[in-house]
Amino acid sequence: MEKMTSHIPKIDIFSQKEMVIFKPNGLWNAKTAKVAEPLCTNILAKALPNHLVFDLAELQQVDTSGVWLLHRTVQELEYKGHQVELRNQNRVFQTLLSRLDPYKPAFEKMHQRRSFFEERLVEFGKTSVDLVFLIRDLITFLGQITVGVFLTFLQPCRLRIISTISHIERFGVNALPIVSLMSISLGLVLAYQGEEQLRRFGAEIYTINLVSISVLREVGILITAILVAGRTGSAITAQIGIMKINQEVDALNTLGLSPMDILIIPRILALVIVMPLLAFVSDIAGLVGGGIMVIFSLDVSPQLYIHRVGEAVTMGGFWVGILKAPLFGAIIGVVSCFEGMRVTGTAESVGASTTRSVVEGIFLVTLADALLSIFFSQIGI
Amino acid sequence: MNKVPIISIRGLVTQFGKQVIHDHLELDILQGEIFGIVGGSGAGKSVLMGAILGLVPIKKGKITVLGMHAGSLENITRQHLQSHWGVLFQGGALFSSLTVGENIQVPMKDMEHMPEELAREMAFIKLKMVGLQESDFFKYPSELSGGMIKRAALARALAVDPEILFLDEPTAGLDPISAAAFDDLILTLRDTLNLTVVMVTHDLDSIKRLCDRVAVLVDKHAIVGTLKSLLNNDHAWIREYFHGIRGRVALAELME
Repeated sequence: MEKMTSHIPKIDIFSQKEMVIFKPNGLWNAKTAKVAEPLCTNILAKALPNHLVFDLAELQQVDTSGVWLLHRTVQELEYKGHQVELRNQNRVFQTLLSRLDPYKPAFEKMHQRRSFFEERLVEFGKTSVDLVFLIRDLITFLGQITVGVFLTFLQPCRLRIISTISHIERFGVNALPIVSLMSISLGLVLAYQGEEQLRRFGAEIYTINLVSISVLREVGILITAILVAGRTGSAITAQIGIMKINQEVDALNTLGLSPMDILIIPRILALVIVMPLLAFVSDIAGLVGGGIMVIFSLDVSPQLYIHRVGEAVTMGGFWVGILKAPLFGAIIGVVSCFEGMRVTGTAESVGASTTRSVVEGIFLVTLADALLSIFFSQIGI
Repeated sequence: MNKVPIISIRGLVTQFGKQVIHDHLELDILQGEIFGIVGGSGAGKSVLMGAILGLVPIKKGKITVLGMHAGSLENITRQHLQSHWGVLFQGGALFSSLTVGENIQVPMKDMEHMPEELAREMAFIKLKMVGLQESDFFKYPSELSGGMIKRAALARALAVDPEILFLDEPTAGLDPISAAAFDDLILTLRDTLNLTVVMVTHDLDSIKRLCDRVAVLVDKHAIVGTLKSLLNNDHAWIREYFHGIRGRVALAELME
């Protein structure tokens, strides 16, 4: 394209008695600034006489960065006490310079930086305060949802049935294949590992008890909750977040429609309805997975496997798993809607909120599961 | 002003699905001129700009920018062209995870590898050139108003003093005073840096003050002329556009 070689910025230096003449030539623009800047720094590093001249006659082309570079150099020389004279400024240089003049950067403000320690301290303080506010906001949001649900009970016509059903399809029906696949493979793995350990005691037949009880009580529902938090929770947060950025949420408010009724309650309700069903599918798929492994490696007939499962599992154990599901669904729904509504303006905050939504969802689900396990074992189920 | 076409479009056809946007459109934009593109909603103004910038795939035709085949999305040509043009998008398109100052420095540092300190100073200068405050340097785009976002985006478009400046609705959403200041800025930049400016706009005041020539996109073609010659054009849409109530108020003196 352009022959860059002849355009490289240079400064020819002519020393006369008691004065030095600098003759910048070549292209001085944004593209050559990386070459031109060291030239200027070199000049500043030199020991120079009092009287200096910048002869700009051979300057081929300048743009704002070129003008600024030369102007800055001249200024710093003048600051050092030199007397600097600019010769042969062309029209472009003058106009650009006159446009630059009022815009000299305020150096002190630009170089303002905190020390490392100070920065960490500020960060720590901010994070702590943010955490307190997060908890406060979450509690407020929970209160709003409670009011919203209560109002819906009083006036059932507020409920968006079609929207709820469509969410049930998206969160539930469409999640069936992945939930089943994950549960089958987890059942396989559980059975395989359990059988290896139990074989040492000659108790490999108890693999069936191990698989069926753990799948029904804990594994089935937990894997479903984690999958739903990752798959649906993130989608809810991102969707509501983008709607907030697009001011769709504001639009709903000004139209007299409550985002709570239209966006949040249908989603949470759909999750509460869908989770037990998904958990049930996951239970069955987990049992099937475990069954495949047991039937092949222990040489047990399918009939016997089903029979042993029936002996090992009580109805209580099954219900423990299923009853946790609506609660987990509610947790995931509340957290993801909450994070969605917290999105502010930027694309980055959508990303951050989505991540937080999944992490907080899984964390709270696991915490609730632990507490419930203690509770159920205390009341003896 | 020399009459070298800096952008030339020959037989451009663009279409989305079955909907044809441009049908063998021909256009020349000359070096150093301020060129306006007007047209009704959906007439393909932004698509035309996107096609020149290589953002919209073209079905047929040829677009040459600075003698290079553009719109081809070929990496080398694009990279080379990108340092020659600056683009102001309609919504600003500032990177929301960077501060205003960092946004302006993106083209300087990542394209031209300007030394850090110089880039920061230049970003500061550009910031003030477009009429923003020093304190805006450290703000994030989400903390700015619509007009300030426009200015910050213009500062980024001007970061490396490009030869061609593309403006998509630059004055939309600005108050009249800011819009006039914006026009002034564009004029000065054109005169000092010999910029070529391509602007999509509906602001008749801007068109009157700035544009040397205007292309009206109607019926999938471009009708090009000076504002005066377009005033006498008989096409129904063009008459409606320039001779409607708004047109008559803005362009009163030209119609005498």
